[in-house]
Amino acid sequence: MGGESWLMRAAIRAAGYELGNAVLRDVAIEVGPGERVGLLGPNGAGKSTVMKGLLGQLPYWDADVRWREANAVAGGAMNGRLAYIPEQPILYERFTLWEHLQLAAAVCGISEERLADRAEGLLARFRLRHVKDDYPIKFSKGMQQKTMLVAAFLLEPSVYLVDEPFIGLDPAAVMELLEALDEERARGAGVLLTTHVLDSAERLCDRFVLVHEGGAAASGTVADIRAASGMPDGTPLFDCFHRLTRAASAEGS
Amino acid sequence: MYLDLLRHPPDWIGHLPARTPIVVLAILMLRARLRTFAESGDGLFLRSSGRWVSGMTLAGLAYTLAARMAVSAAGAGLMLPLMSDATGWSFGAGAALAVSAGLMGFAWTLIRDATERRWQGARRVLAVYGLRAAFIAAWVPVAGWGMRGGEPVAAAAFIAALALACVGLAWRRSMRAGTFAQELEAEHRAYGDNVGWVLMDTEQAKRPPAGRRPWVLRKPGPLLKRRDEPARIAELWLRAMLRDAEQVRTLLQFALLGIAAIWLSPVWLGAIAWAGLCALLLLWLNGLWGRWETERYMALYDWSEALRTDGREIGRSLLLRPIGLAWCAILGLHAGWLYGGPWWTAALLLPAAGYPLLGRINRAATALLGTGREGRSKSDAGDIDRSGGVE
Repeated sequence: MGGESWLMRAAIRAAGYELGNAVLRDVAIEVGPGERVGLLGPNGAGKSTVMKGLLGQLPYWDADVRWREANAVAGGAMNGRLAYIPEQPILYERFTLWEHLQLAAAVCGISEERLADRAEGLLARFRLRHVKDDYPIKFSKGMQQKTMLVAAFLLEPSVYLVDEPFIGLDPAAVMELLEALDEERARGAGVLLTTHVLDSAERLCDRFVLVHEGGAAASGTVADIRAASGMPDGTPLFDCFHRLTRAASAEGS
Repeated sequence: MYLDLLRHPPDWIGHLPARTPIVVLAILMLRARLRTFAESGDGLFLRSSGRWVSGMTLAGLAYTLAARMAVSAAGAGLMLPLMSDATGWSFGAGAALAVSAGLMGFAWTLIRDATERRWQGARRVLAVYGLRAAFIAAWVPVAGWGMRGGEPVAAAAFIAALALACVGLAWRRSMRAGTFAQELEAEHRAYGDNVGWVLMDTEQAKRPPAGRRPWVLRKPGPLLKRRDEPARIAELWLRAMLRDAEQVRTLLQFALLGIAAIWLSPVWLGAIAWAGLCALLLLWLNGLWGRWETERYMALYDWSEALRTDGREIGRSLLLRPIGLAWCAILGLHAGWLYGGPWWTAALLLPAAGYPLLGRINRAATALLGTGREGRSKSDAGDIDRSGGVE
């Protein structure tokens, strides 16, 4: 992507959980407005490490992260610029669902009027309105995940980091999530999502970054990935992924 | 120390009602729950083996009985020699009391277990409290009557009946199926009760709320008139604190301790104690806020330093002011009680003066504690190699 058609550019030189001990090297990620970028890779490849690094949660993070917005600040967790939807819901046991949203709004500078206006719509969309004064810690896993979705969509950020969005949600909730993400993309937000469900990723994402053994094995559109893996046109992403990871493993050994 | 107490018991022990040991033993028994040492990993394979489940259940029943007997014996063994003059009970009567309290405690754990399996949420809590009240109401008069009579045959018959009831309840419990979820919950709560005070920051020691909805501050309406972001966050913190029964209990105990310390000291010393107690309370509240702020959900968000500082200051004042002013009022009342006449006005004047003073102390603490935190975060930042840019 060239020109000004980007929201976030991350050039990760090294990242890890101990200072000086990199588990991830030389990965470049760019997310443009309205774009869905898939961060793919086998278990332990470093996808979650990228997410944690972008959220400012890694002790070793040597990266250059740039945001297009002039008032953006570097690093940090969820705010008006970045929202994270984790694979495992992160909730506080003494807050009701509504209080989770109140905290998100207060920390991110959203007025109470705006909170009421936006949250009501989101709660209705994800069918959580009837439990808004209940403790989410007592919800089912899927409803907890939906709570995290509502908290993230409330912020209307520039970029969404979505970790394994298809785990824990029922098919109707997945559809609602995708619809909501589409609306956000229409607003100009970008989405960086990790998933193991490659068929869904192929259908949903515009571009991909394939992470394997702590580095980027390939990146680009499906056509670019096919070219990188030496597979003919029409080859599913799954096969390209298989070829690339096997080739990288063979090189490594 | 205990031997010294035994040789020279203080006078007040002689004035205690003879039923005191019975009540204390009842309180000890009613805190207990049936232990089975179930672990979530057991659900993978082990719980499918009936032999393994019955073995673990029997081991849990045996452990619970042994624990109840040991606790009752220890409680009675410590209390009864001290109170022998007040009660006039023989060694045999004391032993019978300890055994029946142990058996009664064991029966209680089985009844509590059945109740907790039957109900959830508020109904469960109400049922357990109702049963506790019923147990106390039945046990204290019956045991008191038995200890007054001093008839060994009646005591033996009572213990035998209790033992039979325990065997019946234990047999019934061992035949129950589908108890795994309840056992896990009971173990989690027992773990929290036993080691929660040491591992207060860990996820394992956390006690999730009992109900589906909050019981305290249930309505989502605003508590504070001020509606800027720091005040909204401080209000959320207050809600969370007041919903934590452990914190509320500690806070009330501290407030009552402060009231006692101020009332029992001379007025000048009470004034010094007030200042010291407020400083302690402030530090404690500051620590509570710090811990809350690092909860995983709170840490998900990007807090500005101004929001963090202002929210913390407002949050502290929400609990510091009412307790500090109550202590002020006690100090004033004590002055009125001691000196009479115009000194009674101190009960109103001291809280009126304390209000702005507490505000000043809280603001000074923000400056003082904020400086320390700033220094720490600077040194933390030095340890982390981060870079980023804005275009």
